[in-house]
Amino acid sequence: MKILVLGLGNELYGDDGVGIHVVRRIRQEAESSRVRIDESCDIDFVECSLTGLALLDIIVGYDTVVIVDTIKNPEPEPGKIRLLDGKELRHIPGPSPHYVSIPQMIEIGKTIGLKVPSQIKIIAVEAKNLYNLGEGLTPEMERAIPRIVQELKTLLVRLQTQ
Amino acid sequence: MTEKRITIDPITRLEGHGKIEIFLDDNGDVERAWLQIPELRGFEQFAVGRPAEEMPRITPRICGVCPTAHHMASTKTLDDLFHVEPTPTAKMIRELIYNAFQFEDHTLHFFFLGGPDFVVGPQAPAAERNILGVIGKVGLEVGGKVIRARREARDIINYLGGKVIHPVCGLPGGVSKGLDEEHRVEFLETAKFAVEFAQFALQIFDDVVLKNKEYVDVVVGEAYKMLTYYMGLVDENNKVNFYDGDVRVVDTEGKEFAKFKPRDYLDHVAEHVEPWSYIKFPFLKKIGWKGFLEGNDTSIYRVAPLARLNASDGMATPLAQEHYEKMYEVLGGKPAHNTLAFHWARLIEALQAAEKMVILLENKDITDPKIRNIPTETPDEGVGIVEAPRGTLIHHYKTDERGIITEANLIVATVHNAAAITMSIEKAAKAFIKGGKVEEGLLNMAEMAFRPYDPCHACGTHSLPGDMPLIVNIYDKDRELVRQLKR
Repeated sequence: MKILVLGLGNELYGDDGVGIHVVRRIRQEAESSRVRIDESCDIDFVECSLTGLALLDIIVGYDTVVIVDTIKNPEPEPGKIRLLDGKELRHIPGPSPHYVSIPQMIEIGKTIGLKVPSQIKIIAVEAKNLYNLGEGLTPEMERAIPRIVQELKTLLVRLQTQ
Repeated sequence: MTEKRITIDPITRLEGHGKIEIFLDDNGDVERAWLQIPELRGFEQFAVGRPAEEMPRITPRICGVCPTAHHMASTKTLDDLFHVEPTPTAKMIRELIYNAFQFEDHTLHFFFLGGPDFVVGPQAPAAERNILGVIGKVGLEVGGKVIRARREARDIINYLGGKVIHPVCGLPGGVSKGLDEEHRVEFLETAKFAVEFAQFALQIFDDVVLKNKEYVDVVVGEAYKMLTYYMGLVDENNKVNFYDGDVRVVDTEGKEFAKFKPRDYLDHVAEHVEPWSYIKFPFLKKIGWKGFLEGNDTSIYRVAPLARLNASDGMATPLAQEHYEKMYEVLGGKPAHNTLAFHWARLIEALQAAEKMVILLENKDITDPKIRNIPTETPDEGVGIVEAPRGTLIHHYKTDERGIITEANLIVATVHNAAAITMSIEKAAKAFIKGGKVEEGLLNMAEMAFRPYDPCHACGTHSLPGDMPLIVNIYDKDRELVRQLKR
């Protein structure tokens, strides 16, 4: 099985970059062999600041995609993790290719005969301030990173033993 | 005075930024309307104190859609800042990357965004006005072709850009990676396919839009017409150029109003501030701010594909030139003020970009190993301008003698167009709201009014779920919400 772990976000916007930080962290651990990855299973880790349809080029060819990204909530608890399935996402047609949603992207890929992932899992991290420029995470988000990394590892183990 | 307000808020996750607001007068007619667009709050401050050479890697992060435009504008700014001219090969490589990007972005826009309005039909349900609707109408093969054309163009950008997703190849005086013969031959095949594909897209436009009187009427109709000045980069023959050249401005009758070097942009462009928006509205400085006014007395100019064609004397490549002539014939001469013709102009530009790729790749000089001149001068100030897919993009940095940024100014296409977008929406709103009655289709038509400009609302942030609901709020005179339209 080919799995893609996709860290989405923008490091220039503080906590919006948490997906990128998490993927970077777990990749470093994998490189120093602190994470044992089953050899029968191929896992790629990709950091990405693109959005919309451009993501289709990146996810094609994988069986499963695990996305780590921020999510908004009217009353956010920064660092709170929600595990979502791609099927749960609602599709709302957007007025720009900037906003092609994940379900729409998968549907487009399928329709035109691309090998799109059959399974999408999302680790959605609640975040508060996403619109101020600045590098680095807030202390509360920084504290949440080990939990998010652990959640990701657990999920990867589960996906591999499915 | 009694004032009623209607709000179309497409971007809930941006906390109210980028919303459309429509104010009604006593009779329930539209008094004024505007689109608020988020700006890059604090970016200039963010840049201060950083080494200038980091800018081509930082600025592409501003936008998750057109990183290559920022990378190229920033790289050209560094040439100017460090007083170094790139080698001829480096210029060719940059231009190849840039045209591949322009082609890819324009075709994406047509098939996934602007095109569906026409191909599927302006009155079709929003859920069908996308690439899937296009496939349903034109046939399955179109989807495969779109994906192939985009993927292959991206392969060129990724290879020469040095890094998947965000290019890192631009250096003051050149590029970091050259092109070998094997890749030249491979990419030339891609470029030839791109020419074929752009012609295929224009054929679809021809079959579906131009052969349908109802659509042609919408394109040339008064509701989507607006008289403004136009701005775009041109080469030494006043032909459209995306990567380099002088900035040319033409008036509402198509006469050259100004032509200037990037360095002199502040002599020509000034910014007007309104109390209701934190966006600044650029206007032509030599005329002065005249308000949100269209017509011969305006000082508002537009950028974007049609603006570039209006501001030029023609296309730089032969096939694109044929379509250019045909377009102006249908639209009744030059300049064309039809906002919906932006989509048509975009396809003509995609064809020029593809033809340009072929020209660059057929020249074996592009594999020359001299890809960089090393800067030796002390940096001070630089301006770099490219034509981003959505219009003129200006980067301007000042540094100390060590090359540390002391001031930065960026004007992105959406900001150039801010005043015109506001006016386009007002026109559409006036056509659909009369006597307090909101006609069916307002949402679609208001969207159609700003879609040609493809304003970048969400520059830089990427939170899930990544899509954009539309909400219209209608308020009575006491600002009480009386009706809400939603999807």
